[in-house]
Amino acid sequence: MDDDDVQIPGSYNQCSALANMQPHGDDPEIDTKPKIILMGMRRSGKSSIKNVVFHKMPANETMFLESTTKLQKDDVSKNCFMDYVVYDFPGQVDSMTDSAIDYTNMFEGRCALIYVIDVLEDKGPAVEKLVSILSTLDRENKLDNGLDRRTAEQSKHSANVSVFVFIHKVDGLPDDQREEEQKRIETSIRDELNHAADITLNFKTWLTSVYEYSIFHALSDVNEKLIDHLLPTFEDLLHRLKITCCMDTTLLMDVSAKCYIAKDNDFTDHNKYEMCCDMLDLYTDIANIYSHQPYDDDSYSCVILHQVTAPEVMLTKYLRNNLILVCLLQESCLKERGIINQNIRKFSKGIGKVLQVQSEKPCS
Amino acid sequence: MRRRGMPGSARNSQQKVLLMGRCEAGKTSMRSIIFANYIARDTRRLGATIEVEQSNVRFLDNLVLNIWDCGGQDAFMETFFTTQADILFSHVQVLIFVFDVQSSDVQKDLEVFQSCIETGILKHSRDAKIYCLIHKMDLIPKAQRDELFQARKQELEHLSKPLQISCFATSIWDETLYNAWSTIMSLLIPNSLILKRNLKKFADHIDADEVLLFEKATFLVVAHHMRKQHSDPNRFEKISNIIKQFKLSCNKMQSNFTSIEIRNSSFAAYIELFTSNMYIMVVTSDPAVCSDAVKMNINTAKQFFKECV
Repeated sequence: MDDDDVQIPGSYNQCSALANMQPHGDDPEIDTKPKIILMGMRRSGKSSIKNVVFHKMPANETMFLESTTKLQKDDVSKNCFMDYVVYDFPGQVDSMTDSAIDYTNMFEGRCALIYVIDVLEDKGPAVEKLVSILSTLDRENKLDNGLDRRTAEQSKHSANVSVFVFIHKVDGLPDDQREEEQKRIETSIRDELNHAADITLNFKTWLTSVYEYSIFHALSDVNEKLIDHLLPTFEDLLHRLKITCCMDTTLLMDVSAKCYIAKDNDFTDHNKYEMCCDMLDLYTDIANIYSHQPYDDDSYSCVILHQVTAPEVMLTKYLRNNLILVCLLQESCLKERGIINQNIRKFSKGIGKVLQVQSEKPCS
Repeated sequence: MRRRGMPGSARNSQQKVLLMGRCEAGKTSMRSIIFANYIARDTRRLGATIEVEQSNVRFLDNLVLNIWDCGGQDAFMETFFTTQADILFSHVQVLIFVFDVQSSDVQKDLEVFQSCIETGILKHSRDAKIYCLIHKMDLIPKAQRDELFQARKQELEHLSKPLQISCFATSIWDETLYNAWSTIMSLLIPNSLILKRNLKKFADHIDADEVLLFEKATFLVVAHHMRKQHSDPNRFEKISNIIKQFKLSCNKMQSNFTSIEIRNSSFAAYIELFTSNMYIMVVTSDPAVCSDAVKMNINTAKQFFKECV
C-alpha cells in the first residue's frame, strides 16, 4: 500500500465515462419494466426469497408465510432502486399451459427466470418441471444462452430470458456437502435438457438460503444481467472514483434490497460485500430510531475498523433513487476528506445523468 | 497509581449470580448470547447443562460476575434444594429465574420457583435481588403478549411474598433480552451514580440530545443521560442489539470497529471506543453542532472518565 500513501486523491472527471455510454431507447419493445420470474415446486421458497430481499422480511418470519395460491405481481421500485416487476408463481402450477394464467407478454422484454429448487427435497420432479418450462421457452426462441453481454448485441431481442437456478435452503446442509450437491443438480439438469428436449443452455446455479448472505449475492448476479446495458457505464464511473480517490473498493448498492448494483472492475472479496450489507443494516436501524425518514440527501456514514492489517474505513453516501455508494479505503486517505467529498459529489452527478438518459423515452 | 473513587466502593466487586429455571427454559442460550458472542441461531447447538456450570465474567473495570448456570433437569433440581442448597444459595447477590412461556407444565414451574425462594433464598440469601424472566415470548402472537406477561407477573409476585421481585418478558430474537440484562447489570455496577453524574455533565457541555455508555464486550447499556424527549422508550436495548450484531459480524472478519458516524439531515450519532472497557454513543440533532467538534470533545472526555471509573 506504499503507492497509495504517496498518491493524493485527485480530481474526478466523469465526462469521458458518460461519452462512452450506450444510447438507450432504440428499442420499442423494451418499454415494460424488466421482470424477475420466480418458479419452482410447492414450498420451495419462492415467496420467502421475494419477501426477504424486496420487502425486508426477517428470515425467521418466512416460516409463517402462507402458500401462494395465485400468481403474484409485485412492482418493487417503490422501495428499491431495482426497478423490476417480480412474478411469484404458485408452486402447484404444473406447466406453462395452465389456463388460469395469462402467459402472453409475460416473457417479453428483459427477463430473469429464477427456478428455485429445495435442496432438502427430492430433486427429480423439480428438474422435470424445469425442463418442461425451458422446452416451452426454447420453442418460442426466448432463451438467452448466457453469452457475454458485450458480444450478444444481435441476440438481444429474440433471446431475452436468462435462466438462474437457486439451490435453496442450503442452511440445512453441512458445508462440505454443498458443492457436491450443486454439481449433482447441475449435471442432472443438463442431462435432462439434452436428453428430453435436445437443448444446450448456459444457465447459472447458486447455493442460496434466506438465512445467509448468499441470497443477496445471487440476486445481485441476476440484477447484473438485467441491467447489462447500464453496467459498463456504472462500472467505469466507479472505477474512476476508486482510482482518483485511492480507494480499495467502490460499490453501488440498493439500500432496501442490499444487492450490489455495480462494482468496480477489481472487486472480488465477497466477505467485504457481506460487511457492507451489515453496515447498511446498522445505518437503517439506527436512522429509523432517530429520524422519520432514514435515507435522505444528507445520509452518510463512516465506520473505522481495526483489523490484523491496516485500519480500514467504510464510507457510505446516499445518492438517489434508493441507490447508495459504498467505499472501502485506508484510514490514511481520510486526511484528504475534502477532495474525496468533492469527487463523490461529481460521481453522484454522473450517476444522475446516467439515470436521466436511461429514463428518457425514445421520440415517437 | 492510586485510584480515585467513592470511599467504600469495592475495588473489585464480586457478585454471585444464580441462573435457574427448569430444563430448556433458555438459561444457557441467554448467557451465551449476552456474554459469549453467540448469535441467536447458534444457540440451537447448545446441549443440556449438566449440574452447574460456573463462569467468571469481568464487567467494566471493577465488577466480576460469578455466574452459576444451574442445569434445569428435575434430577439436578432436587439436589439443588436439598444436599446442595448450602453451597448454591449462600452469598447470592442476584437470582435470575427463567420461565419458558410455552411450558407444558406451568404448575410445576411455579412449584420449583417457590422451592427456590423458600428453601434457597429465604434461608441463605435474603437480600438477593430477584429477577423473573418470562422467556421465549417470540412464540406468542403479539396481541396476546402483554396480557400473558401481566398474568404471570402477578402470580410470581404473589408466590414470592414477602420478597420483592422484578419481571421481564424476553426473547433471544429481539431487543427484550438486552433490556432485561442491561437493567440487571446496571444495578450491580458499584459506581453507577458517579458515571451517570459525569455523563450528564458531559452531555450538557457538548449540547447532545442524549449520551449512552455501553460495556465493550456485551454492549449492555451501563449509563445514559437524555436531554431531549424521544418517542421510543425501548430504543436503548434496540441499539444494544443492533450494535452487538454489527460487532459480531466484524469479528467474523477478524476486525472490530473503533468509530462509527451515522448521519442524515435530522440527526447525527457518534459511537466511539471510549475507555478500555466502554463505548460511548452521542446523539445530536442540532445542525450547528459540528461533527469534528463532537469527536474532539469525546476524545478529551476519555481521560477524565478513565480516571473516575
